[in-house]
Amino acid sequence: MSDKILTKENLPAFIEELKGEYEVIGPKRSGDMFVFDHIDESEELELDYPTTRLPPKKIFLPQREPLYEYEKKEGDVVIRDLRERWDKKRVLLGVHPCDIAGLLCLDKVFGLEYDDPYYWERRNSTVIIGITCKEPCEHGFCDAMETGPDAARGYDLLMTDIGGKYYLRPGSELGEKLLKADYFGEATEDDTRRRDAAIEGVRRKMKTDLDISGIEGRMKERVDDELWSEYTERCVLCGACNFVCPTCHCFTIRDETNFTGTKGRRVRVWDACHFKNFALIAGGLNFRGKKDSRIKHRIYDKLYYSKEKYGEFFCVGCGRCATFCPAEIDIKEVARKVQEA
Amino acid sequence: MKNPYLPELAVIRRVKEETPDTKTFRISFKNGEMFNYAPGQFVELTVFGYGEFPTSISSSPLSAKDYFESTVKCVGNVTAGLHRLPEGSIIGVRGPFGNGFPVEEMKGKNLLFVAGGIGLAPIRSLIHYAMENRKDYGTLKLLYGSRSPADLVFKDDIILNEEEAEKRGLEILLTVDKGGEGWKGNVGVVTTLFEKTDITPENTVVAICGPSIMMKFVVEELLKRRFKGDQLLLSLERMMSCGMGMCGHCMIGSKYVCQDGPVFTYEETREWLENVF
Repeated sequence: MSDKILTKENLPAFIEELKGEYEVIGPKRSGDMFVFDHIDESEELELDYPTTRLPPKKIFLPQREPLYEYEKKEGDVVIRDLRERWDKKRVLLGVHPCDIAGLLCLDKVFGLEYDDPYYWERRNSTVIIGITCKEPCEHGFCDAMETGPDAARGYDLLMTDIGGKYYLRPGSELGEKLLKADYFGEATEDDTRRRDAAIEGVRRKMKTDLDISGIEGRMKERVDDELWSEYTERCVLCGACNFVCPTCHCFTIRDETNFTGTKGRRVRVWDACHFKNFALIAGGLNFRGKKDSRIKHRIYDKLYYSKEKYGEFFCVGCGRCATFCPAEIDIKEVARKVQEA
Repeated sequence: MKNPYLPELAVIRRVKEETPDTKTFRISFKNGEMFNYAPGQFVELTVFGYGEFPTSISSSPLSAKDYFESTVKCVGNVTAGLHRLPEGSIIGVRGPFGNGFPVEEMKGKNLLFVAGGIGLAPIRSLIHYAMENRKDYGTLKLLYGSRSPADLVFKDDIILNEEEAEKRGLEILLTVDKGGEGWKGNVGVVTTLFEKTDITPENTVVAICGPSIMMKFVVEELLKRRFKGDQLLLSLERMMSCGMGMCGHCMIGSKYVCQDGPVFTYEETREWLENVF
């Protein structure tokens, strides 16, 4: 597979071409932040964005989605699958390396023992075009989590701004096919050097002061440590960090029925292990009734349980949890404290 | 791609009232398909118009393949909805899920069953399985406790019928927290039964299911009697919502009770960073 060059003047042409076959989704301005949304005009696309409010998981695991509907009819029940099927495949354009890593984590959850058809229907119908960050973002620490500033996999195409033009690296056959138009030029050795230098520049600016290696061992040792009490005191259990996290995948299934109970639909909605009743069972016993157990559970899920179960950390260093935490808890600081002697 | 979220339609063939708040439902698939499962596995039952809940399978997979039974206590909105359904009603079934008891590894061992309340449901599946494969297992002994004599489930089943059980080589010891008129048996928590019979760890596996606090004390008692953690099989209860290791509700530490369990040895739970009980 060979790398290509796209001049910035030709970006609109590329997007137009993509729009012929795909619905294009990318980062767009929304108030003083950015969100992934449908791109109708190429000018709406903001590729130099620091981060988005929600990660792209919302496209594959929507905040709320119907699973099926049912109707009781003459002593019988009829079920209709409400799995969403897109008329047009999608291109998710401008995904940062941390968010690409987040999607790879979700792939494991929704494809380990069982394949979740709602997730995979969308995932398999989406082309991922990533972009490496031009500047470090405020709370990001992808360098420490080894999920950025470069990405090695999980994309069909990966773009890097090398000043006046984009460097495009295909990561799949499909990605390579997207580079057929005549406005793509061959990348020269000099272009490749400039790409690597651009990414190295970001890495140098980041230099996150956190060594994550072996943290799972430290987490295990410090499960009853005094260090958790500070966070138990500060955290307000709002659930924001759960919802903005690219790897948090917990949900609740519930039925919504009509007044007579003859018709209804089953929906799933995002849930958060920070919420009080998350581990409640029939009869009223709550296995995480205590505040500290819920705060610890989430952090352990990111920096210990995920490593044990999936072989990697379910923290991709995107920094959103720190951005949105009303108590200013930063998981990077937590990790640093855990690693301290 | 098959959709594991869609329940298979099933018919309630028989409803048996076990106690004032507990019923056993005999369930067959509407399309006539057989149901393969192992003792200790669970299903997700849908009561249309109410919702879905996880519940143990209480029947043995050997006695009949064209139905299974689930024994459900009325504790909330969905289970109350199920309790109101008459025979012939249509419900939904997903599953079976989970690992079940390690019936192969248990071969050749003496089996001790310790259950509390509705916790006897998955244990009943295992006891019937062992009785149907009698020569594969050593002695069979059941210690079962409930709140009151009226709350004993499966009173009409052979596993609580002394004569029938004895014929099949099952020793039964019952207890209730609070006795009542006509109750001549033991009164006290289930661990008080340990004094009434010989319980030794030699070549024995214990299957335990009941309220969390009861399981905790049973384990403590057995450890005192020199049982090893890997001889104790716990069937755990959590809110398994998807059943497929995705929704997160049933996690204990890194384990998903729905997929890695619901049966765990006590030994493995010792490694967990969250309390099992």
